[in-house]
Amino acid sequence: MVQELEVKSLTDMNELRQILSRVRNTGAQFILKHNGQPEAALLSIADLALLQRMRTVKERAWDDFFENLSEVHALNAGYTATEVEADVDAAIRELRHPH
Amino acid sequence: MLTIVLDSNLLVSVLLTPEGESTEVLRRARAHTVCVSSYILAEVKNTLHSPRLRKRYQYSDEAIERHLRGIRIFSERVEPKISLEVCAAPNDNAVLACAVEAHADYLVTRNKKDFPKEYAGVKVVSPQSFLALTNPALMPEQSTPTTWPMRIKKWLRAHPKTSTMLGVFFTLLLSGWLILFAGLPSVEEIKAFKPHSTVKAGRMNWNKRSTDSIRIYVPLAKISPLLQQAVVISEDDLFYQHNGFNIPMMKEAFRVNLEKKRYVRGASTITMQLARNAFLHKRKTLVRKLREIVLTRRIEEALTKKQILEMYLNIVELGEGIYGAEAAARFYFDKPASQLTLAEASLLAAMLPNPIYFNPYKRMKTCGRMQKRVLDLMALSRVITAEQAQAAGPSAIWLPGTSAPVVEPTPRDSTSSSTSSEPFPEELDFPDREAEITSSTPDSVLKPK
Repeated sequence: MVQELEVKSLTDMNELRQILSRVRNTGAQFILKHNGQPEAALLSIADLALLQRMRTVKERAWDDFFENLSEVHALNAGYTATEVEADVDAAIRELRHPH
Repeated sequence: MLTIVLDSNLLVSVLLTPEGESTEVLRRARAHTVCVSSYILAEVKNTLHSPRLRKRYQYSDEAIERHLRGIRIFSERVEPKISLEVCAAPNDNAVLACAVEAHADYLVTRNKKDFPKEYAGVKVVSPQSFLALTNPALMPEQSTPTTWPMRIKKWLRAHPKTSTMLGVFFTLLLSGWLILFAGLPSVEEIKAFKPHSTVKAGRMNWNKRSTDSIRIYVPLAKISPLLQQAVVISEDDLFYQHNGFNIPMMKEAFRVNLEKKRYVRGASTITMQLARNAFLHKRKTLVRKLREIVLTRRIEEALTKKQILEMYLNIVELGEGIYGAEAAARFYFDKPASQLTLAEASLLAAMLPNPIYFNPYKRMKTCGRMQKRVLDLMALSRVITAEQAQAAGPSAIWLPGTSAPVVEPTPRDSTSSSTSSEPFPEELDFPDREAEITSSTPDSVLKPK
């Protein structure tokens, strides 16, 4: 459950310590707002590590994605982009509006 | 970072050709969040399996699966809350629904005319428009600083050279501030400050005095008003009017010193002298002068004029190792400061510019001339009459241990009038005090037994 926290209300150090304790121990997440606008998030180190892993995985996926395209591109090198795009659009139109 | 949904036609085209805009859109989309739904993935798969494409282009089933797997990994999955019928059926609306569910900023499609221009906050754009929108050169600043600290930080990052110069400037400023203010007493410390007496007046045997410093602290009420007046008039006649600094006198001193190209006139007020004598070292430096100015303001803030004068008259040096009016009165005249006569008070006031040099036991003639000037000033200020000034000349002073009177007034003194418009010359050229201190004879020798 993500909770919202107005930064200006954080004046009590004890309250802040409690919030940090909740983040660390229970994995609670907070959206820090300034003047009502969400500006940052407060999340546990474990969640942050998870996010970083996800980001790494995505970056690799993008790299692999573009790398894998080259094989099919080589096979269809004789077709221009205009031709391909026209064929793809026609195929999708047939699929979406078969009649 | 934008949230975008790419239509199936782009995701299919990118597999088949490297030349088109689809590939560039995908490359550009990498920097943002791409969302897909099950419907879009299914549509990509179905299109690639369609006879139209299968007949013409070369790709394996394995290539299709790899392509879909890649899309699944780099994109965020969202499933629109629409009926299964709508979602299952081939429909442009199913793609739009995905964009709405993802709260996407843009839906990028080549079939722009099949969609509304904007729907529920989602803008439908062509690949060309998307490429233009995400052109790094044309992209608006994503984070416009909203607060002053953020704006300053951004400006500093954008101007590294100026930032370095500002850093150096503020470091110097901080160093200057530390040099000026570090160690100076606060207003509270000044209020609580009281110099200690080193001896008790009644127990002091002046004839057996060593060269140790002597101070006997007495309240202002126990210091002759004549001495108070003589000191104020001779040292700082605007003492009760200014706030620690006598600006006209400072300007005049600056002008005279500049003209003579050497230090011939000072402009220290009583408060400045107190700051120097009570809290600062004696070496003449520019830093000490600046600290003196800061301290003068604090003293004026902390103490009343009477308190300042009391502290000054108890701290000021009036002979080698003789500090304060009480110690001086007992040393030179063998009486308390409260009983000083006009002649004695004016002599003590006359010693202030250089108390080591103007030692009445050593240079009574010079001291007498200085004392006469103080008396003239007092008469000019109408604190005393001209007759009183005349009567209180050097001839009226008797120093214990000498034959009375100590010295006859010089011809110049006897002829000078107390009502003269110029009671003393413009320039008082005293010998350097520090040099005098090192060569002066101890008081124990100067004072006759």
